[in-house]
Amino acid sequence: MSVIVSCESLCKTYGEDELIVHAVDSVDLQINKGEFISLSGPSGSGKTTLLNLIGGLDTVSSGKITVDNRHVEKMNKAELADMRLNHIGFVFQAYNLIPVLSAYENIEFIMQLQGIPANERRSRADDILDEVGLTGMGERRPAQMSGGQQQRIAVARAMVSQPSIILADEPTANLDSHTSDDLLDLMKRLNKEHNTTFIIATHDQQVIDFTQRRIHMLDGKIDRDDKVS
Amino acid sequence: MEKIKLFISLSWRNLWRNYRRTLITFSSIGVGVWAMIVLGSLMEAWAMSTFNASINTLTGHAQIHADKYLQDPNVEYHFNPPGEEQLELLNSKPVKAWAERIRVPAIVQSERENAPLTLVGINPIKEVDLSFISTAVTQGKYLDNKQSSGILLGKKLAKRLRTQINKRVVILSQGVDGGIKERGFPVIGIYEVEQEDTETQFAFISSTHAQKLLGMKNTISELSFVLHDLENLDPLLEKYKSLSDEHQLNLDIKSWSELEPFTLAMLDMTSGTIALLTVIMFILIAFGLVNTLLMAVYERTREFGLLQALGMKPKYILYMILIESLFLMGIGVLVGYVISISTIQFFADGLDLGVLAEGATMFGAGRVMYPEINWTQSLMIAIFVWVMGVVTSLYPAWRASREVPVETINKAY
Repeated sequence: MSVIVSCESLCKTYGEDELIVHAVDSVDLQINKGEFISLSGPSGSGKTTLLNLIGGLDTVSSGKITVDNRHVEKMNKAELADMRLNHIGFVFQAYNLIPVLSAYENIEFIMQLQGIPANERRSRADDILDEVGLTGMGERRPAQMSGGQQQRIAVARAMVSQPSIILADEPTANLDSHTSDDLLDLMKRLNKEHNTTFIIATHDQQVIDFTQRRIHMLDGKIDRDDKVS
Repeated sequence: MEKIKLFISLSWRNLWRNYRRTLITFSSIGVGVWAMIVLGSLMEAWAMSTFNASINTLTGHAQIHADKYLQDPNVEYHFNPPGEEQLELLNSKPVKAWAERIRVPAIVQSERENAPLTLVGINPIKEVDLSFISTAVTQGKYLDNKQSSGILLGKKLAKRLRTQINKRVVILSQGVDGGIKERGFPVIGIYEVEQEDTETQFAFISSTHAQKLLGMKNTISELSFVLHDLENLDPLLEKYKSLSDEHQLNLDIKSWSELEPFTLAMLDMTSGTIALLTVIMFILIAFGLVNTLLMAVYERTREFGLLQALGMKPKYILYMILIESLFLMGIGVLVGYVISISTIQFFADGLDLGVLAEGATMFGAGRVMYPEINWTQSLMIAIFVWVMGVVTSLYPAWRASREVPVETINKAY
């Protein structure tokens, strides 16, 4: 299996001198293509920060991080934006759909930024809407959908540009257990069908139990890294 | 192209997220533009009213006198009527009307009072297209022809002299020979004008009788003309001056701007004031615009973070806000423009200054102003506000593009 994410002595600190906080502390990690991973740990353990560093949403304090063999720590803002656009999909706790766009347009958004022609966009958006089980709901605005539906659209938006990795930060935190199950099933299916790497930061044991590789973080360090067959 | 379509669509929809605020912003921009264009137009109308009143009183677009007459306007400084070459020039296409005049200081005596004035001998036929007098007679009648023996007095002067139509007044003035000349004239007409000072300043008789009275033979003291288009004034004056020099006529040829420096200053001041007014109004609009856009940006910092997280480059966020401001300003300006043009058209038939008229006439303006649409000026104002508004929105747009995704996306709702 090829390595898709690699972290070497990765550190992220906030504050200075006595007030310094090591949010991510000398993390060494390798993630292979197609893995379905949970990043768990108590609040403040550094899981979201690690996710943000992998996704280029936050800057590295020291160490190295590569995504698809590209050094994230050396990229400028525009290059980071390009990497996020073309290689990474995000699913957030609060869905974070663009409120003025319909579900269909939210899904199309990234493809439009990528410059994909309208016909292909439409075909891909229709397919992914089918895959996430929201056929016929494309014209609805986020405010007209339930939390579970919005999160499905968020997953569809993350998947539709065919990224190498999907980073999900507490994707089930705002969902009931039944909807969470559905969402996890969906993500797992997409992971299998498209061989997309999923890294899910979560507190939720239900999610952790669902993943094949379970990384537990504590005080900014990797505490345990278990693989389940 | 796809990206531009996307940004336009996003910007347009974002504009209507808080439609009340958007409508209020449209209104404030619209009112600002309306005020700029309408006030500019009114000021221009005021200036043009002053200009026309000045030209129409007796000045014309240009005047020709004997040398030194303007320094000491008396009968001593007179000159021969235009010769063949000058006549060819005066009767050319660009000239709308011209007339010769006798213009000397005099004293008018009624049976009860007397008053100093300027006696103007006119060619009644030619004067019709040149100055106000033919249309200003409100009692009695205008002079019929060059031989008419009556006198026209201003209403205010007639009141001061306690005279009226068909009564006689005596004019006393110095003749060419240096002696005092006097002659009685029947009052055949009383004229009224908005500038009351004019009514006490001028009395009109026919040029033939003025020349006879003063012993001027066929000489004149003034030649005035108006053109169809002021653009032709300078070349015409140049030609007349060269003819005058060629024939050594020793004439003093002056344009309206040299004769009426106050009017010229007022016209110049008007353009400057309109520009200043535009800038002041724009500054007021700019504060409102920046405030609105900053509020819109601060409210959506999380969303800008999200857009960046999804792969939108910072420059695209800047473009998006600029497009939003382009719409906001564009619609506001368009609304203001349409309303201002309608307002000006509504008053195109005349805006009566009413109680303000007394003040207006003090400055030489008419009682009724006729605002006109100055397309160039109004378009310049609209484009200026639009462009400067978009430039002003650069700061909020830049702020939005600088949002760091992780800081904004994790902000609580």
